[in-house]
Amino acid sequence: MKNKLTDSLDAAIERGRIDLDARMRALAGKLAYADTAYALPVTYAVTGIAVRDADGAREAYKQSGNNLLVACECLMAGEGGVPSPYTGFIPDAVLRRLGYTLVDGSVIGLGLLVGTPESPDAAAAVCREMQEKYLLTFLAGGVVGALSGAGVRLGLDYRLVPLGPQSARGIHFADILARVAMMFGGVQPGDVHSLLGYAAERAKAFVIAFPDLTDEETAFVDALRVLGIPILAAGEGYGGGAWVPVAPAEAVRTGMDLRGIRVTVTAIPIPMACSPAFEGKSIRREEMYVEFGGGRTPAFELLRMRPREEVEDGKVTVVGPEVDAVLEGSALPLAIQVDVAGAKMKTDYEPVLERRIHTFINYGEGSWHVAQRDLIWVRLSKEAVAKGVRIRDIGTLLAHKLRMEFPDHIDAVQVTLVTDGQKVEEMLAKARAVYAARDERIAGMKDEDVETFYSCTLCQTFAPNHVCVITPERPALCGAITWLDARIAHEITPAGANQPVPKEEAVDAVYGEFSGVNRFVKKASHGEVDRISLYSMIENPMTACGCFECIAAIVPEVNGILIVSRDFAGETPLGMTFSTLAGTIGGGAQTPGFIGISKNYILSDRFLQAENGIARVVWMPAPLKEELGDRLRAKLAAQGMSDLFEKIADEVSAPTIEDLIAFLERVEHPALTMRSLI
Amino acid sequence: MTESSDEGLAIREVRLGATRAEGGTREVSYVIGGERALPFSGKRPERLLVALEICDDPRFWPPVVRDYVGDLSNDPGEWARAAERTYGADLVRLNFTSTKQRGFDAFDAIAATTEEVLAATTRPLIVEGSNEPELDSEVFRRCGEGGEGERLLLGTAEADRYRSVAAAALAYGHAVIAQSPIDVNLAKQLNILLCETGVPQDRIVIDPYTGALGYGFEYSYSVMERIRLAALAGDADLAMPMISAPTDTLSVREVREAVPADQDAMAVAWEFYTAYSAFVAGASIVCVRHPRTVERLKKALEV
Repeated sequence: MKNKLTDSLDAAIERGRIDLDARMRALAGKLAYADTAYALPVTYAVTGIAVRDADGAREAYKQSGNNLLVACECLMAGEGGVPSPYTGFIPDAVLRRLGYTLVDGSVIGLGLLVGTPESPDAAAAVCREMQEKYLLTFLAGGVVGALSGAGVRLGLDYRLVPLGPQSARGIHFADILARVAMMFGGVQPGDVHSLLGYAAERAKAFVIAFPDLTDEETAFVDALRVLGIPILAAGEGYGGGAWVPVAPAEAVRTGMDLRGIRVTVTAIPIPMACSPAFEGKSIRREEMYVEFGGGRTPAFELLRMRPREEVEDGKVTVVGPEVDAVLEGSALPLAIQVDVAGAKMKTDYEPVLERRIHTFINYGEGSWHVAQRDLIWVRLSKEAVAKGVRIRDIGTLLAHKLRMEFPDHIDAVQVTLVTDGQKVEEMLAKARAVYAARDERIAGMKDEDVETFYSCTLCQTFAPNHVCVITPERPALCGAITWLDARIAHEITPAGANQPVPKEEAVDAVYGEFSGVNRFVKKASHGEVDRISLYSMIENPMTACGCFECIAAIVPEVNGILIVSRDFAGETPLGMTFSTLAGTIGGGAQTPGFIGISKNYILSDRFLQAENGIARVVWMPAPLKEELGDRLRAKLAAQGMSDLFEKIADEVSAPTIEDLIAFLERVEHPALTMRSLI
Repeated sequence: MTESSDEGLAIREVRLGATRAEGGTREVSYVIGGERALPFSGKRPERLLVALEICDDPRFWPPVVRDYVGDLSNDPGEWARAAERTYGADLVRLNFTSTKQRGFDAFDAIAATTEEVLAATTRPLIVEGSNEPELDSEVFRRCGEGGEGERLLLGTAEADRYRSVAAAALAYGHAVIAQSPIDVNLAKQLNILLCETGVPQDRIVIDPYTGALGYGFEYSYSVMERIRLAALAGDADLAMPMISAPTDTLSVREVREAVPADQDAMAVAWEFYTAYSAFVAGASIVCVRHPRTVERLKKALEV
């Protein structure tokens, strides 16, 4: 019967099934568990039948399509209890508490250990890891004795629950899952479909099978797979089937990865406080112990997605001198290379996550960070270094924060910090290639390439009916959220303020009106707005909240459009300042002839294309023009309008409408001869 | 966005408390919600409830109330009994202020006090559990256990700490208060999160957070109005009854600094006008702390 070394798993399962079938036929008498309202819970959940005796058991077994879990449960119910310290069947009252900890997150997953481990110490290590990772572990079979022998303390308080001396007692693991699904998941008895759904998605469980299972036990354990529970074979004898072979030391990590169970860390083990409270605190030159980048030394940061096997979670490597090897006031080169892996991670998310490096380093009480990519500037304070903060701690901080903030997307993070100048230079060339490729990807992304835009209703707090529609070529009007940002924000917070907007058929491709967008906006604006054009400021323009970076406004006298940015305090040729204009168009209203926009939208090919786009722009404040500078020049050159840049007036060349008319006529601005805007 | 449902665009009904026939020990149970129009615009809402708040540790309670109720404040059971029989409250809201003290670990007292207050009252009970995120798991479990079968209204779930409350509601059959900081979108998001955890929609009561009159109440009013309008327009994720607790009113300067002779009157006036306005904005339950406010609200509702 235990001839497994030469035998395949499937053959053992088949023999077990035959044995269990035979025992089911021979079963007799009353069957019941004590202190439960769920009869024989697995059987009840699967078939809806509350079994009381052997005949009922056979009927339920038949109805379940000969589900071996049902058979094992019925057979176990006929066997009576187990002596202390084994728990046997766990009553409803205790189970309610267990379920509570599962729902409230104090337990993040469930494990069942069966069989007899070859090495009790290895099994003890598995249990320790389960405890550390907030997993609730159930034990059945020889493993219990082995653990007791190795001095491991067992019991509910230790989150190690010894169900019984035989591995078959592991069936109580299944009845626990079934009852949790019925108590907490609203699963109705007999509704197998929802039971399986709940077990697969909510009750994250896995089984670690040590050697020495009988055929019947093997068949029972294998039957758990139906609940979406992976079986990890930690030892010899289970080859040739669907069980996952693992070394005991890898078992817990593998199980957690397979079930997507993630530990949430709350404390970061570094010798300085880490909180958003410190985000705005800068470190001045005289407070600084050491700095990196900022023009003094080469420095950059790069976050890359890597295959899971290349990322060792939590690993921090420092290459080159640590901060205590240099004098106070020194500057060191720095490469911050963050490697992340995750089943749901995508290359598109890299830049979004990389931007968080800035935020996270500033969370550190004694660390400070500005700018991005190869322009970064990082400082550590004297006070922090005196308390023991090292460059390594920045790595630990980043690894922890990324895991904490993006638990659904990141399964593992490792950070490499390089302070060796020559190495940094070598890595820098490769990083620049990555930046260039990313720019190309985002710059190359067109509205017509995607089927889904994203909404932003963050500002409905104060502009109740405003809805931003964010497209690859039209960032949110505040300039803070691109289409990629909105997409990742939606994936991270599916019920949040950024929702997917299916674009559907184009009502008018030039005006950027789409039926799906209209339908979405009508609902999200609580019925206030029926239609919006994404690329027009005259026909059904988008509403504005109040956060816009710039305002574009029609100047009827010259048949053109002026753009004024928030930071410009003077008057526009319309005779109004930014804030006067803002007061007119904000609050979630559609104001034809005026829209709120982001700076980057000005550079988009879709910029007000219904009104002839950038060629209509007649006036901008000089600082804005300067800021857009080379990028705007390149855009204009690409459209064959290299001379237009100089034809756009500013507050110096045209402070009033009269000056503007004269200026535009002098330079022969194309807007003057275009079709009338009004 | 939620599609309009066929359920007639009504606010969901939420049942509070359980009679013997319903598996509890209350003499009455209440059903709140069910509105199909804005408050006071057509038919008067069937049932508007006034709750009197009490606590288990009066050190963390407004002095004006503490002085008024005297020794009652050291005996949650008697305080709760007086709330119903002497002050005329429709129900009691029990606040576990003891969890505010440093190093709190008297978890068994939580269940015992819940049971004591349940025994002293005959009507549904609102329980405010933990004041400290680290204690949530232990405290809410005790609240849930202590009131098993009684269909408590358990508070308070917030966007970043709702799991323990939700777990206690699921495990022991209670309803949940979902509080958001005066923001219709966050209110909706929290309701969705609670539902994802498994809490049925008919066991959620929205607390939009209530600022004191003169100190931001207009924001609360406006957000309550918007929640209700969205619900009546078919947004099922917001179609829950609302609860309002103008607790800030007792710490406004005018109440704190009133001359001793006027202090009760000032506290009652501030609570009354804020709470009554919350009814007008659509609240089904208002929770007040000064016993005399209860009487005034009940009288105002009789008109």
